[in-house]
Amino acid sequence: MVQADDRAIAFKNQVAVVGIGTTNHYGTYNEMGAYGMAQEAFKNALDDCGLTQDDIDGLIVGTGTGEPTAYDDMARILGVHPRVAYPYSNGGRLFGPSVMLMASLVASGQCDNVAFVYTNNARTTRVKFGGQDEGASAIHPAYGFTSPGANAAIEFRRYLHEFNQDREKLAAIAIGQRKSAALNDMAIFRDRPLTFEDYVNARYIAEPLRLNDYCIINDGAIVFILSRADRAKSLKKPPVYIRAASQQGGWSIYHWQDGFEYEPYSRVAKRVYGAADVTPKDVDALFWYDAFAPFLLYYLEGFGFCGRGEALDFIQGGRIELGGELPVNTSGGHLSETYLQGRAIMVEAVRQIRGECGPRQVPNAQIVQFIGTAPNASSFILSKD
Amino acid sequence: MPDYTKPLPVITQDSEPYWSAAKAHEFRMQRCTDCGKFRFPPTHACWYCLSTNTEWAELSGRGTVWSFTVMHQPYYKGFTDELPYAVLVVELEEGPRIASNIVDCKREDIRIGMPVQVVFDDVTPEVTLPKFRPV
Ligand SMILES: [Zn+2]
Repeated sequence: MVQADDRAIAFKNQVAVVGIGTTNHYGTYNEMGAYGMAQEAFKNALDDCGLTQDDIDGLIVGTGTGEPTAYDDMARILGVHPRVAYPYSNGGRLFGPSVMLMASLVASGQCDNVAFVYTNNARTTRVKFGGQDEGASAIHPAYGFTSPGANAAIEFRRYLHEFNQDREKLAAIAIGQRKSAALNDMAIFRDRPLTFEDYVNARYIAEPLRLNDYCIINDGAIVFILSRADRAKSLKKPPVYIRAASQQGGWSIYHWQDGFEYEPYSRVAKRVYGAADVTPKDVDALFWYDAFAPFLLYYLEGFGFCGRGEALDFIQGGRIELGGELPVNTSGGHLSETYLQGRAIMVEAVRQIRGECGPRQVPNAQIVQFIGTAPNASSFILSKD
Repeated sequence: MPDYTKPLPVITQDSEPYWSAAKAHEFRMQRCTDCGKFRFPPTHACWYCLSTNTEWAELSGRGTVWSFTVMHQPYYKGFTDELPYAVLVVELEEGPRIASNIVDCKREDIRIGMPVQVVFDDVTPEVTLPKFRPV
């Protein structure tokens, strides 16, 4: 493992994603619980790469927002006996860092094949984001302030004010990703086209954010397997290399720091592009943590795809759609495919590099990037070689 | 007073002086007596320098609206009748930013940068919520 000068981890083709598996559908799973979904996705991931249960010597269990899953019970019901096993909780914003840790386990020689197992039955367990007890020092509920979406709405309104921008330009994100979802049989909103009129006529949840600026809440499970690159070539599918990964902590939601997380994102950008030896211009498709549509604006600016305050203009005219200069979340993402806290987006990123995306394939995708949200701004870069 | 159905703040060791001051209609926050910085929400030690030397300094109560949202989704029973209602983030003259509600102002009239002043809303005999009104 090589530490770049600026301390992103450059994996230098030591680690590859070799297997991906999902539940057979997303949406509502009445027929099985969280563990059952994990078994289904795990079997699909093994089938995808040709590894067996005995090959798995690392297990990371990422608990979703629904029924909790314990790492030890997970190992038992998946029939694996890994050398390294631990839980990786707290959902979405730690997804990017979890990939960084898994890759480190492989690159450091601790594990040959690490499985990341994520299962979430948020839909059937009726998970709500907002309105719950917000912890021991809770002040906000007394003012009716709750939910990550409301916080995103406050930040987005401030953004519109600082850059004197037009709110409705945000529509390009939800509409663009919905178009991609129409080409994805797994997408929950595959058959729900979204016009600009539909978008502006949908209800507000927390103004200025409307319904389609929010991610879906659904059930599903994802498993992906990372392996030593030198062995990956002999498996069923072409390896997808993890070139570099980085993250930056120290930013916290609900404290309204200035700058729309520009500083943590630009720090991660400098590290991850440096370690992967690429620039934003080399990125063939961008995969982003789209819990709420405005996050893309802050990523695009912080990672240098466009200048500060320019992202709402940058995303217009089909630039972020299939066929555009920078297609984003080509599966439909959290907004239109499935909300599995970054993991399903990882699956799509891998499929793009493999060339498995059919009608939504980005031609000759060589380098794709994932960006995860602050706090714990994170990014990793996947490549064909 | 009719039954108050909205959520009440959870008062902790750290935040008790904040709520006691509010009950006395004083707006106080922690200021580190070593580095001089204000902090909110209340914590045991200063997060700038980790000093525990703290005073509960009285604030001017003046600030500006940093941003706001209008909540359209029912999350708390006690707020359902008021939907849609505004939640603002106020940037206080002394620096901290806090979430609150606005009084004496229609939600259509709220603007970023609008000057506001703290007011005290005695919502129960025990709890007073600092809120803001336009100046
Ligand atoms: Zn201090």
